[in-house]
Amino acid sequence: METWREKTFRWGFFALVVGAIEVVVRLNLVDRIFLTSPSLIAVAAWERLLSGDLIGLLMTTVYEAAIAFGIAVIVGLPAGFLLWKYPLFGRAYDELLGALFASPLILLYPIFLVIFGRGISAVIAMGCISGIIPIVLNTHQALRDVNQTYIKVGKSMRLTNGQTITYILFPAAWPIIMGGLKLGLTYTLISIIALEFLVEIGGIGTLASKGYYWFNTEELYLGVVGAIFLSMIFIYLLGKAESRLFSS
Amino acid sequence: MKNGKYRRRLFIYFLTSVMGLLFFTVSDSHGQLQTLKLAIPQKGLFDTTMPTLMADKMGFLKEAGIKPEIFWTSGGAETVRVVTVGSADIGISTGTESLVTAFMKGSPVRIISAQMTGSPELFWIVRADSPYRTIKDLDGKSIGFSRPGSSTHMILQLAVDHYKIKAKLVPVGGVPDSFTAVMTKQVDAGWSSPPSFLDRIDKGEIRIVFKAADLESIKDVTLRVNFVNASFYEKNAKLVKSYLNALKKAIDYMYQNPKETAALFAEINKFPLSVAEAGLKFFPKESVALTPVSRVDFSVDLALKLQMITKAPTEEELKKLIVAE
Repeated sequence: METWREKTFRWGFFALVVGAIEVVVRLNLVDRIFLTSPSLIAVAAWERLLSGDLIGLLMTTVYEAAIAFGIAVIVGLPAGFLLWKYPLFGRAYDELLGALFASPLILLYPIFLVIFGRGISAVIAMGCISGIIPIVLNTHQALRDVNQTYIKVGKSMRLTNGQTITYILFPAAWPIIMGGLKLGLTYTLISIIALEFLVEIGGIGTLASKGYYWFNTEELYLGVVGAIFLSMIFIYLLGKAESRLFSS
Repeated sequence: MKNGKYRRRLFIYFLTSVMGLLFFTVSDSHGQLQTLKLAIPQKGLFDTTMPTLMADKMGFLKEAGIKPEIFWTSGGAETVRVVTVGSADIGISTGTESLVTAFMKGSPVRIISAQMTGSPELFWIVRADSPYRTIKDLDGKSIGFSRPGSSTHMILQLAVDHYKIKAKLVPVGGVPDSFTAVMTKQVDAGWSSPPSFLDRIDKGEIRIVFKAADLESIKDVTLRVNFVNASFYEKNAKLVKSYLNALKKAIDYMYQNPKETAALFAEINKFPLSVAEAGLKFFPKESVALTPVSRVDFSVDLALKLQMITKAPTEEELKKLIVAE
């Protein structure tokens, strides 16, 4: 349970930073082409909310992220399981995936544009690939780290393979798998918004890009704030799903 | 004995150091070059790259007391930001509407000269197997330009209005990105600038569907300008003028010596000489003249139309923005 002190520190620091930026911009201590005041961003957000295009842009990014992350989970979890089930594959691919995870996959975007066309399919594919890798790696790692005694106990109780996976393996591995899902979600969102920014396709990244190229600093930061907002919502929902799964 | 040898060696070391120090001091005082940081968009394009590199090669910059330090940028907003923040002193050949927009939004920039008027060199390509023959056939189709606020964006907007077509305008990036987008059917037509892909046009792999030179209305419009950071200009107006003089000399030299120009153009772009020579024909000398900066009203109108700015600059504001002769 969060205490009021924690809340005060968190929101107090946030208010301090926002207030400082407001003052710095209002006093013209920084060029407005680089930084704008939070109040002006709020005004821009309100105007765009009223016109309806901000919701449209946010929903486009949410749609892309949901599909990309959904595919990443559907492919990533079984792939991680297979790497654990067949250790030869695990040993063969683990390092390769680790190297890919550390590399800037976003640089491959021209190839995605060629394969999937200049549309949201390319954005979804890019987000999906970026999200799959941490999910596979963490699932594999989590299953490897499960205490063998648990599995032996399961066997002594004559559990079937399915029961062992459902009642022993996945619950024991869940915290690390969850870490992988959170990382996967983060990487999916980063890739999606980065690609939207680079090629001006789709949602909130496009707004930031347009703001950047047309020197509309409020729009640029509205895009950035929108991206942070979406990330917070997704992580919150993932946390909720986790607590529901554990409580059941 | 041993001590004397040691002293002698020490003396030789001392003498060498002093002479070395003297040499560097003297050579530096002879040089006295002032570093000028230049933000140049899209390396290899004729008007952005060639005048400065030719001025450097022929020693015109050195004569003017300038040591160039070049930053390559992707153009438009990036060039403006680099100059605004002071990372570069001068920005080269950047879209006039970008400059007007940045200035109206408080960016401390000043236009010091024209760099491209009329932009007769730009053209749009389609795949050879494309059913589209002219820009009018692209009604309802997708057409690529480089970046919002760029001259390709301006020209495309004007062309779409002029030919009364409704096309989807897509920012595709630089020339190589544009070509990839066309060949992989991401867009129906994409922009290019000579000498890029002239050889492919000759081979029949792609076709030109529209040339900016076809637009009569922009023949006297300065679409790309050179600009400077305002506070740098206040302190270094003489240096900026020396740079512009060196550029002018380089442009004159380029058109007096087309073979040498083609060779440098080919070398920078790693093209065969014949392709570079063919590319040069797209750039009449008057299009790259540094003066005058003409028809800025045209860029202002377009920036207003695209809602890049909400109000047109006043006469006073334009006088402040454009310090070019």
